[in-house]
Amino acid sequence: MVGEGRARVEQGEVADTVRRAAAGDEAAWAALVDAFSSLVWSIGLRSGLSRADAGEVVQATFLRLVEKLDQVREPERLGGWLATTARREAWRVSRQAAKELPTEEEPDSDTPEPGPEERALESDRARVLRVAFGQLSDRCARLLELVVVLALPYAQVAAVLDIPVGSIGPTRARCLARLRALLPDDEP
Amino acid sequence: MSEPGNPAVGSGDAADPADEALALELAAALADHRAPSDVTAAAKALFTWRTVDAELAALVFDSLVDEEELQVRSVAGPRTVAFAAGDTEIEIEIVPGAEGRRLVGQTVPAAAAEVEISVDGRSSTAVVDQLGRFSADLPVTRVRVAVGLVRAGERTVRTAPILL
Repeated sequence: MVGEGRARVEQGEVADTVRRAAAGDEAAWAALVDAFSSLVWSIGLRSGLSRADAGEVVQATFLRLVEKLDQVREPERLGGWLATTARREAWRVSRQAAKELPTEEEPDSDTPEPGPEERALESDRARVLRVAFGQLSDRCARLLELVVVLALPYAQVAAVLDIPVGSIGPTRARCLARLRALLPDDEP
Repeated sequence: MSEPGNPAVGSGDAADPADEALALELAAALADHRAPSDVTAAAKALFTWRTVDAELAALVFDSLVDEEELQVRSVAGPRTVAFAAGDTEIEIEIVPGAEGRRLVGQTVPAAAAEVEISVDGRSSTAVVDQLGRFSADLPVTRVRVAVGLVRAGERTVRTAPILL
């Protein structure tokens, strides 16, 4: 599992990290992947793809980035570029899956499903939180996913959602309050 | 709800401790929203694609995407992709083969004598004819394919890997 806490690439460092990766620094590339792979993965899952196909979207999207590393003009908007590219690649992968399995109408699983083992180990608290999260508005769910779960830097969240950076902190607080209100009372 | 004083700060989020506790719990509960480690490792491995001693030819056409965007009906048409690097273009078509599928390609201009075809990481070479054409067998299942031009004494061109 990915470690807790913030991704190692903070806002403002993204430009420098992109520059170092373009110059051949493999550690910088790894840092970019660590910071942004979950964003791309989440877009694959949100597009209705299976986990295997979402992995394919991650692969295809980062391949595009490898090709274009030295042409990234606005690294502070890298998250937005990756999100757009991921949606396009998700569409490509879904078309490919549809062509290969003409008898199956729909791609499987539209939500990220943990395996049965993970499910069995899931605590009651985690289950309660997942249910409450599922009841949030799309706007709150997406913002909390990007900011809290994927730990994207605010500037990148702003680029992905096309909202002002300054609105993220307040929205985060409001959405956490809504999430808390959706939880059963007197949760220990 | 009081608003945090410094919403532009990217991390830390100096705010209500109860909010931070809830945020941590949520991050743990939705851990499967983050990319699994094997997916992340595969993306990190892509970096080798820019360090190889060859010019990377980028995908410039994919029938799967471009024909649909142009609203051209591609009824049962073969999957066609094209890569370009400078003046060199590499076109690949996937057609039914004797046992599985067949990759049929052409380089424009016809400048290479051989191509190296990598299928899921396993490489083989194929002869290129006078017109720049080459071919190879592919399994029925999806595989990751890359094609590199082999030209003695010259900087080579290699396509980005693509799932075919």
